[in-house]
Parts: sequence; structure tokens; C-alpha cells
Amino acid sequence: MTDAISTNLMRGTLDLLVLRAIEQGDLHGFAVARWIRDESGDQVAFEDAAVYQALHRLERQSLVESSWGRSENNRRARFYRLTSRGRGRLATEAGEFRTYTDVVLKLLGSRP
Amino acid sequence: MGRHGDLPVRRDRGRDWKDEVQEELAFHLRARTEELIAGGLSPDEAGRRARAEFGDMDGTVRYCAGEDRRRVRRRRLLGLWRASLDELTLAVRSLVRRPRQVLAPGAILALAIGLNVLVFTVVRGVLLSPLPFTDQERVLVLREVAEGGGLSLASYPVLDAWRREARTVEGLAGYLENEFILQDGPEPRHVAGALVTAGFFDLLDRPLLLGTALRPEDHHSGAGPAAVISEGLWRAAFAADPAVLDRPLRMDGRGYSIRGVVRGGARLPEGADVWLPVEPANPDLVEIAGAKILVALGRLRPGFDAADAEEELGGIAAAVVGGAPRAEVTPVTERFLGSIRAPLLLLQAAVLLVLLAACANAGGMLLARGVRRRSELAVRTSVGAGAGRVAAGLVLEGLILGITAGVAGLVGAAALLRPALSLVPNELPRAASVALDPLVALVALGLAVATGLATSLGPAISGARTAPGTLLREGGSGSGTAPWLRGALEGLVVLQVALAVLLTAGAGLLLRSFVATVREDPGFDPARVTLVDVSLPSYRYPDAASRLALARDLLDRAGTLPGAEAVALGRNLPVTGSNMTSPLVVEGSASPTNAVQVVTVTERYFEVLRIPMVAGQVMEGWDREGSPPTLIVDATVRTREGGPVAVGDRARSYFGVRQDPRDVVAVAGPVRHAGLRVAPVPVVYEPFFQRGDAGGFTLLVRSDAPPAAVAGAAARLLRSFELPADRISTLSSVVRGSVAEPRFYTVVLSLFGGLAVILALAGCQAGLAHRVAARRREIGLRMALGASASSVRSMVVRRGVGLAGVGAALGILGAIPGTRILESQLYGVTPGDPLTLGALLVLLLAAGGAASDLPARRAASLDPSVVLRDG
Repeated sequence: MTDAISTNLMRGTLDLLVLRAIEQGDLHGFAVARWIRDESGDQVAFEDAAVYQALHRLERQSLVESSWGRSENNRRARFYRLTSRGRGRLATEAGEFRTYTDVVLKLLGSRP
Repeated sequence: MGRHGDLPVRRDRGRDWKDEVQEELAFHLRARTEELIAGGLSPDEAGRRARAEFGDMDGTVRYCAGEDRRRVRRRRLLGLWRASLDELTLAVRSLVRRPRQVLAPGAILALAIGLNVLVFTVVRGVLLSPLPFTDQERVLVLREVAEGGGLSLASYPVLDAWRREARTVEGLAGYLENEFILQDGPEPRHVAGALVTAGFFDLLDRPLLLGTALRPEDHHSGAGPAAVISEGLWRAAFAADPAVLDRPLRMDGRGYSIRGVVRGGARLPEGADVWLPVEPANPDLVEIAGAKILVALGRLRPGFDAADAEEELGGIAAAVVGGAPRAEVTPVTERFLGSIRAPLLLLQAAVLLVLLAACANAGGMLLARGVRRRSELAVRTSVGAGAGRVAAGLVLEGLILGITAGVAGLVGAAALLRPALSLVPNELPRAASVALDPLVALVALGLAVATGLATSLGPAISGARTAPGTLLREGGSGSGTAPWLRGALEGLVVLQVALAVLLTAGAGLLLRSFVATVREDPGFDPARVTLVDVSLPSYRYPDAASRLALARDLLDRAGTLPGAEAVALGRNLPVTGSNMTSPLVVEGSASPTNAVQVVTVTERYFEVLRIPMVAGQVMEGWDREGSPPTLIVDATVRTREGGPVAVGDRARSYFGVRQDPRDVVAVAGPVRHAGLRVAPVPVVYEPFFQRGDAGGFTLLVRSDAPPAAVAGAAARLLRSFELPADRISTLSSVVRGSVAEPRFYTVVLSLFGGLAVILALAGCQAGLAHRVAARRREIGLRMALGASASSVRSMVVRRGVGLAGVGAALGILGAIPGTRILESQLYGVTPGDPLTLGALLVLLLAAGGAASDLPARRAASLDPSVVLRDG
């Protein structure tokens, strides 16, 4: 997992954020994108395209599963939820990411 | 989640993966656009903005659709795998749960597969593995064809001319089987080998393990003694010494330089341990075009065929003084494997029939038992397993059973291969190359799978046809078997009987041939005759005088062997496979006769073998050196014109040295010289002591002492002359050995036939028992209406005999053409022999009756009141 983060920081980070978003319950892709945008106070700007790619990638990895349902205004939308495997992955990766950023921050803050 | 995981709907058929992604993204764009409009943008502006925020639309659709496709495909595979695992567990569990029902068919299949593996292993080792030649398909045996069509081998001068002049054939070489006296131990012993021409080893495929082949200079008539030895001799006599090339081979009183060691797989002729250059070993042979005793081999040049070679070689031979006028070429496989091919393929065919019978038997058992499992299957069907799934499960059970049986059979065959091979008469060529290998294992697996499929076919069809509703209503009692199922069961019985008849027909014909063979009068009495082979090493007995003196001495002292009634010396004895021929020139006849066997004997030979005299008699001293040279012919010798040769005629053979015409002094009774199955061939007897070339001969002793005692005393006698004493046997055992091969095939085929008969009987009995069980109600009703127990009994027996009769009739119909493949193995009886087939028909009908006895009695003992009350 550490490998995935280090080889592709952006993609790994996005996957982690998407998993975190879905942890709240069944969400469609639009809601996931909005959650990331809103919660980051528009600080983190991923393209929506990347969010959808992450969703489908995570589904292939059996970390999330999807089904078609009705949106708030009764439109057909694809809803995603975490699988138990996804829940486990989120926990470990969030932990690893915290350790990783802590170390990076510490190094950046220390004087050579 | 269900047991097998959620099997995803097949979405890749009809609907594109991209459509779904596009729908998902459309929802997103619409929702975002509406959000932006609510934030105050114009609809157009909002749409543009939403699109821009989204990024690469087409790329995302492609990417997501690809991920989806991969995900679904993988899950489908996973689901399939899990479902198969479930099915497999179910099948294994179902087999293990009823061991008694599965053990019998499993054991029968294992036995049949094991037998097949065994026979195939031998067939493969002997027939399918290549001979030790390079370019085996092009290697030919080249022979001279004498005037009148008599086939012989080739003479050295003719082979030499072929080698120099032939353009159709290349790489010519020849060999002559020979025996030597090895002196590597405390006692001299015989060793088999060959005298070979230059180029002999070039015919073989990488023959040398160590050293080189014989060198060109070894093939000069004055060359020093040089030899090539076999791997076996190298290990036995030299303890596999890598420095063997520096050690001499002590043989025939000389020390041979060892040039090389031939690997075990490249021995030609089979069983040879020593190869010597023919030119120094037998300088006379090089000169004599009449000695057509070399096996000549050569490779057909590309672009020519056998007919071209025969024409050219015939022309070359005819130009050689003493050469034959024509030549004949035969593929080398024909010469080395021709005689064994038919019987081996016959065994293979027979054992496949046994497997078919075993499949029918096991299939019948599984089918009958499947009926009893119908309630279980009905439950499975009613809880949603499709008919196909139930059938697949049953096929899987069959496959597991078949493969388990196959593995058991393979293991059994591997364990029994060596003991089984030791039962094969030693005529089997290349027994050493017989081994279990991956191909054999693969064939066993194939047989196992085929067997599993064949036996599960019936149950699977039956299982798939099971309608859940009716069965559950019936409470799964198993009564009321469908007519088609009964038909299938009885069809299997008929098939088994037919196969049993086919196999026993073959066995019966072989048995009758064998009996006819051993009943033939060989023309002599082999009982109580001991044969002692004597080889005189030329280094100690260099000339005719010394050899004859030794022979005389030996003969005189043999008279004192235990119980000796009569003793004689002879060369070219009957039924030993020995073959020394010459045409006979009879005075007053226009041309010489076809080749006759020339047997050289001392005067009491006829007394030892009890060969009667038809005319004249053997005078005292007939065989002596100083006596007037005479001949004895046997009653089958005819002149070229067809007239008999009688006492008082004068004749001479070409054998060895040129002779003057001699008086025929007696006519002996005919003898089956070439074996019990070959009608007596003409034989001429020449006086032993008038022939100087007695380098090897046989001492014959008629004695009423136990053969072991005679053999022991004879061995001591030979040792007192420091001669090898390792070739002592009885004439009876030689005669027995000459029919060992037909006896072996008879025994094996009889075993196969017996096995098939037992299977057929068991199958017949089981089939009838099932029939009786299925018709309990009807039988009960009949009895309630007044049918007697005996009439019920005879009804069942009639059915059994009827099935056996149909099967036997079909078997006989098949046997009439089928036994023709036996033709070359038969003697005194023809394929499709009516007596044999008729006897089999009667036998099988009786067997059918016997097999139906138990089911019949069970049917007759049914109590109508119980049956009708309980169903």
C-alpha cells in the first residue's frame, strides 16, 4: 500500500479520499465529488473525471460496490457503498497516510 | 450473498459497457449544471462550466467501462470456479457416502484400465519405440533370392558388390550372429554376439557409450583381434571400468583390444554382447558367394523406392560369380518386429474389449443405483438445480470415479509390469525398452476420462430426465422404472454378453490351435532326451582332425552318463530354430532340388530321437571317417521332377565342401524340423565324422535317469575338457519353448475372455435383479391371480436366457469377421470356426440361465399379499 502511495501520490490520495467520502453511506459520484470539494473548502481540486475513474477502479478492486437507485430528486443514479474489504483498506491507508504526512512535515520543518 | 457469490448478470451481451458509464456521467453533469444555475449562472454557462470542471469525458468513459468489464469478467470466472468446487465437493461427498455402491464398479474399472495400461506399455515399448537405427524408415534388409524363389540372406561377395556399385541404397553393412567363448571368470562361458562388416555401426543411432566403433583397419583379414562390447558386458565383466579400452577382452583364447562400448539401447542383434569384424574372424566367408548368411542392411537413397532397389541389387548380385539372380528388400521394421506385431495388436484389441465390457458393467451398476438415488436427485432438481446441472454433477461423479480407477490401475500396472514381463516368453523383442513413461500415463488418463464419461452417460441421462414432481409424489420408492431405462440396462447386459462371446471366441480358437499344435507328431520322441551344446574353441582345436578326435572322445565318454541308453552327436537339430540348408543334386534329375535341411549326425542319432526308418537301415560304422560316404534322406525329399528319392539313388549336397555323389542308404521318417506348426520339410542326414567343420555341435543323450542328474554329469564331462558347460537343456523343454509364444497368447486371451464372461454373468444377474425389483407389483398381481411360483421363475429365467441369447448371437455375428485378425495365429482351425462358436453359444445360454437363477428364485418367493399391500 505504501508502494501505491509513493508511486502515484495523487491517485493514491484521491482513492483514499473517495473511500473516506463513501464511508458516510451510500453516495453517488456527484455527491462524492461535492463532498471532497466542500470539505476541503475548495482547497483540493480534482477533476470530476478523476473521481469517477477512482470509483470504478475501486469497484474493480472490490473495495466499493455499486447499484442503481433513485437520487434525491428521483433520478436514476449509481450509488456506491464500502465493502468490508474497502472499510479495512480505508483504515490502514488512512493510518499509513497520516504517518507518511507526519514524517514529511517533520522533515520539512526540521533544519538541515 | 448467496452460496456461489452474486453471479453478475451478463451485461456485455446486447448492451455496451460504455452506455452505463455514460448514463452515470450524464446524471453528474445534470446535477452539477442545476447546482450552478441555482448559484446564478445561465443554463448555457452552467452547462459549459460543468463540462469544463469534469475534464476528459471520453477518456473517463473508456477507462470506467474498461474497469467494469474487467471486474465482471473476473467475478464470473471466480463464480464459475466456486461453483465447480462446490459441484466437485458435492460429487466427492456423494461418492464417499455410498462406498459399497461405488467400490465394485470402481474396482472393475481399475482392473480393466490397469490391464490396458499394461498391454499398451508393452505395445509401445516393443512396436512404437524406434529401433536403434538412424532414419529407421529408410533402412532395408537386403536379401538374395535364389533360383526357384528360395529366400536366403546375403553373401559377403554380393554385399561387397552392392556396396561398391549400388546407387539406390547407401550405407550398406552386414552382420552375422555368432557365439563366442568368454574367459573372464573361473570357467569359460558362451557369449552372444555378431561378426560385422565395416560401416555396421554407422547404421545405428549414436550407438557408442565409450570409445569408437571398429576401425577400417580392423576389417582387414589379417588384422589384430579387436572387438566392441556391450554396456551389459562392460558392467558385468569389467565392473564398468572407465579405463576398459586399455584392458583386453579374453575370448576364444585370444586377447581382443576393446575399441568401444555400445549403449544398452543400441544392441543389434538383440542380446549381442560382443561385435567382431567379420573379415579376420571368418576369412573364408569373405570369399564364398554360396554362403548367403549375412543380414545385409542399407539405407534407401532419397528418390528411389523398394522396387528400384530390388531391380538394381538383383542385377548386381547376378553379375557376381555364385550370386543369386534376384534380390529382395524388406523394411527393417518388418524383419525385426513383423512377427510380433500381429499378436501384440491382437492383445491390445482384446484388452480394449475388456475395458468396454467393464464400462458396460460398471455403467449398468451405476445406472441401476442411480434409480435408487432418484429421490435425492428429485430433491436437488426441485430446489432449483437445473436438469443440466444435475446431469453435470453425475458426469462429474463418473469422471472422479474413472480417474480414481485410472490412477489405481496405473499404480497397479506399474507394480505388476516387471512380474508380468517375466511371464512373457523370451521371444519378445526389445523387452528392455518396455517402461511406464509420461505417454503411458497420459494414455491411462485418457482411458480413465473416457471410462468415466462412458459409465456416467446412462446415469446422467437418467438423472436429467427425472421429473421432480412425479418422483416426490411417489415418495422416491424407486418402483415404476421408466421403460427406456429398463431397455438401457438390458442393452448393457446384451453388450456385455456380446463382448464376452467375441473375446472367448478368440480365446477358444487360440486354444484349439494350441491343442492342435501340441498334438502334432514332431516325427521324433523328445521325452527323456538331454541336449548338451558343445562349442570347441578354435585356438585349442585348430583343425578338423583335433575337433573330430575330441568329438569322438566326448561321444565315447557320454555313453557312461547316468542312465544313458543311446547317445549321438548332431548339428542342425529339429525345432531348435537351427537352419542349415543346401540344394540337393540327385543323379538322373535335370536340376537340383529346392533347399533341404542338412543335418549332420552320428549313427545312433535315429535311435536317440526314435526316428523310424522307412527304408534301408543305418549300418554299423556309417558315420566313420573311413567309411564310404553315403547319405540318408527323409521321406519328404523329392527330386525337382517330384519323384521320391529312394535307397540306391545317388545324390550330393552343396553344403560346406563340394562333394562327390553318394549312395542313399536309407530313408528316414519325416520330421517337423522348422517347428510343430510347420509341416515336415525335406531333410538330408550326412555322416558326422566325415565332416571336418565340427566347431559346434550338440550331444544328445537318451537316458532314463532324472534330467538334472544327466545335466550335472554332462556339465562335469564338459568341464573335464575345459569346455563351457552353460548350455544344457532337455529336448522336451526345447519343444515346449517352441510353442511358448502361442501358449502365452492363448493363456492371456483366455484370461481376458474369462473376465469378460464373469462380468457378463454379473451384469446379467444384476440387470435381472433390477427388473424383478422394478416389477414387484406386477409379479405380485400375477401370483395373486393364480400364477405359480415356478411359472414366475421360468419367466425370469426365460428373460435371462433371452438376453444372453441376443448377446451371444450379436457376439457371434461380430466374431465371424472379428476373429479373422487372429488368422496368422491359428493352426488347424479357421477363423469363425462353427464348432467353436456353436459351443460358445450353448455355453453363454447356459450361463445366462445360471445367472438368472438367483433373481428368478427371489421373484418366485415374493409374497403377493405383502407386495400388493406395501407396493
